[in-house]
Amino acid sequence: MRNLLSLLNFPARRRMEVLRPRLHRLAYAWCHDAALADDLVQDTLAKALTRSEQLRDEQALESWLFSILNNCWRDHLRARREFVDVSELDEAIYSEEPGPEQHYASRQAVQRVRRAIARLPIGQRQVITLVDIEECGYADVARILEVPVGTIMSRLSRARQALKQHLSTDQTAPAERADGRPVIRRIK
Amino acid sequence: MNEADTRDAGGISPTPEYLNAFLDGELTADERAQVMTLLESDPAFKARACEMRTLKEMVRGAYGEVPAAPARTRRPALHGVPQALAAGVLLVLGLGAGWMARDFSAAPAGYDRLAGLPDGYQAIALSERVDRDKVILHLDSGEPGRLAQVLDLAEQLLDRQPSARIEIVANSYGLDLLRADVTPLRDRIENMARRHANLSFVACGQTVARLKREGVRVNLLPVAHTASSAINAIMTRMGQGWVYVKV
Repeated sequence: MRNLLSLLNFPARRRMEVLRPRLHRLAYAWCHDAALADDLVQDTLAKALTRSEQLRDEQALESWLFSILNNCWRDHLRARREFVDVSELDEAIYSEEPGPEQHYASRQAVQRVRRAIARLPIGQRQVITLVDIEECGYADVARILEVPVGTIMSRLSRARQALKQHLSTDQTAPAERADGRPVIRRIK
Repeated sequence: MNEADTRDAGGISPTPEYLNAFLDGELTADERAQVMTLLESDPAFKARACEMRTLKEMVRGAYGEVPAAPARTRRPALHGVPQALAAGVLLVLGLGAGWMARDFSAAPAGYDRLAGLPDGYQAIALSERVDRDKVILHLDSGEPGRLAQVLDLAEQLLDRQPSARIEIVANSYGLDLLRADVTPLRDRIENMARRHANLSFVACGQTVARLKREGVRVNLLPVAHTASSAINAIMTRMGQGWVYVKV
């Protein structure tokens, strides 16, 4: 009952609603799976709802939701595979064959970029999408992903370097998969 | 930007990290100016910067439109919150086009027209057996206009239906209404309370507790009752068939 009190905080609730499409977009950029992105956003908002007493600063609402989304995404990855260590997750690759909507999409360039991003390790992918899509500051990204800001900068740098290469050599081989589900690979 | 290892812009060409920081708006005005100068004088650096800028825009552009989830049965989204209760709360809160509202039915039709309720207010009811003569007015804003508004509304409803029961529930900043040392409307409230036996004022116990934790002295008007929390009071009343109006 106590948690529900926080629902009376109308401005935060409205802003959460406004943020929903952005959360979906970000989640999609991380997992490239519309249904999963939707689940992640649903979980994120549900968690936000029951934990909103943790939210102190109104301005921090976005970062706070992004960090919950990050936790939901990590929980999902952990539940799927044997990853225990967060640092392993950051370096893993998570990708899938282009889905139907990608096959039929007319915008080749968009697909090329998405494919290139899908080839980035998860940690890099999260950083570059938060910075480029959500225009988060480095310090915000560091808080959201709970890694030092120096790590953010180096991941971003590696991500952009890799992306540049992927885009110049282009795609051809999306990550292999056996059973119709996205593949998580470990990179040493 | 205060990482020492990226501060070598004075050298021949900035590091990739420094260029990123520039593109991502992480540099101070001075640092930006330096980079701008360098952009003018160093074509190779400018090419690199352009390339990275384009890359950044491509990433952003790639997710301008993302596919929505395919239609399917949703799994329950609220962990640890009883569904019905949550549904009720969301209904209470008048979360019109909210993200969860689509999962729940809207308020029963017809209760948006509560006798004597002026335009601009929405009445919401939870149960099937609704007693239109019992109304909760919920105030969570401390704006002076709102404080007066909730009293105006109570008076209008009571004028229309003198036997009606009205409960004004104040929480968050709305608690100011009932704080003896803060409210601008003390006389009016006490006057109204004397005239209408069926008008009551309820303060949110959670808000009171929070203010006290923050070191604020909370002195409530003698006419105010304290509920364990505003939402508790609202939920209880709505369960009993009261109509809810957010002021």
